[in-house]
Amino acid sequence: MIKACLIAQHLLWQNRWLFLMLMLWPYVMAAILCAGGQPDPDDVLWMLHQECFAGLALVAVTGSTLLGNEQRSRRIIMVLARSVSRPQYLFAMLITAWLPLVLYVTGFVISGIFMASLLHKPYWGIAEMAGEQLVLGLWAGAVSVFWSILLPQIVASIVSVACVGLAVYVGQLGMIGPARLLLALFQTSISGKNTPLTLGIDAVLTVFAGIVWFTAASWLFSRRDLNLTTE
Amino acid sequence: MAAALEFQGTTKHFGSHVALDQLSLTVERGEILGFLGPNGAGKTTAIHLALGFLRSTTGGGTILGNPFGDTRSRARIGFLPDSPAFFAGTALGAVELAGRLNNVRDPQLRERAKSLLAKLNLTAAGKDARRFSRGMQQRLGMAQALVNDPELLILDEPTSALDPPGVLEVRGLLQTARDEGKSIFFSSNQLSEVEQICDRIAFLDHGRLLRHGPLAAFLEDSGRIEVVLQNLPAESEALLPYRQYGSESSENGMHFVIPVRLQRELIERAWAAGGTLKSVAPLRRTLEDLFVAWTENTPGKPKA
Repeated sequence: MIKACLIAQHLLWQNRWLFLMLMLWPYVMAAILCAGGQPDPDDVLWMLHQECFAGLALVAVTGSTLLGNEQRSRRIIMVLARSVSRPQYLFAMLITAWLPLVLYVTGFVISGIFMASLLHKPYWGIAEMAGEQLVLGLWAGAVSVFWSILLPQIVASIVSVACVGLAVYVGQLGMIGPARLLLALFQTSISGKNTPLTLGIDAVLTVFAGIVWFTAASWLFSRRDLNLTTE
Repeated sequence: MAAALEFQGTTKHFGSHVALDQLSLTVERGEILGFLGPNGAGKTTAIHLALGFLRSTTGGGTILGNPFGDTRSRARIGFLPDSPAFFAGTALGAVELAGRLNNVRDPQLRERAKSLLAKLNLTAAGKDARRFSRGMQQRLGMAQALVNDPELLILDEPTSALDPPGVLEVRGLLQTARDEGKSIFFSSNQLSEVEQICDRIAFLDHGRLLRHGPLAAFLEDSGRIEVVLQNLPAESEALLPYRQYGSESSENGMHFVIPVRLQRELIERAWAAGGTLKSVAPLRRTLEDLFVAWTENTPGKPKA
């Protein structure tokens, strides 16, 4: 765990400017929406849901590209030549993909509360959406890390984001766990009045699904060659 | 005690390409083994297999008594890749990261990192490691490899980007490491380096181990001698047959480089022609001679 955090710390620092730019996204969107005075409540809700999807896409894209970047730059050699196991390394990737979401969600909450206060609405739903994003981010991170082992970066990114989209669709068909949690995320209102009773169980199932994806990714990664240019 | 590193019939295929073919090789504790071969011979592949970056197609091996790629073993290994790559951050940070990942803790880590950077003349320890020249990055990679005081050093072309003073520093570090009982396995095309510090060499070509053994035995076993004769006219007919092997005149006399089997015959003819023998000396080969000769061999025919 300590080693994974150490690696993640360096990976985050390596990509700090990109992540910081993305962190600004919720603030920029709120500024645009509120530039003309009090925004329309429907626009705000639509914007918040878009930001939720963007947050999960951020995790999915980051998670699916990190491994490829590290292999291409050959920094992975510097790490895996040391006493670091493949699952520890992948866990570092997952942390690196997920931690920016925490900062992003902080921006989401601050800008969301600001917009809700302009609308004179309670903002319990914003906190709910933030929590749902963080839990779903773990699952999306694990899914994207899994695909990054099997597919080239761009394809892995597309497939990972598609998995998130597909889960929304499957949720509409009645699938529980991450699918239903995603559906709940996109149905949550600013005030949070329509909170489904199954939120807790779906959150637990989502974390469990993330663990399953991550375990599968670790198993697979431990049995594969690194993609390095060799003699 | 188990060997430091042992390849046991290790084979690696990349699709239909055979990168390594039945490699069996042992690096004993406390020795320096030079791993030679032309570009594309499979040296880096072998190193990557030992470290667990790649999985062998058949066969396997052990590293410090554990299977290839074992995480516990890697804590006791120092590895320098052919092109070291670093995260954004200072040189000191890079060495400390390598140490921490190998379970070295402060304050020992900080002291050791600083001392290694000083030994390797990396005075700009606060500069971003990614902005270093290739030579400085190689020195930094060496500091990372040594920070955990490893039992086994695996070095892939450790001096390829270094200037002469850098080569001397690294050579000094390797000799110190050997004196401390560490095992060193290093691939290189810097043959002078290999000649100066290796106990044994292994020569790989097209994924096959063609030769391996003590370096001294290879260098001495040239099969040729140098004979210096005096008091002979340069146009002496008695010695004409031997000129084809190589001869030249100097102030010391006439120098002949001939196969050992012709030694007695040449000397007797010289005496019969009124000459005197000044010296006879076995001719040492250089590693460069060997490298060229072995590379010219038909690929894929194991000979040793």
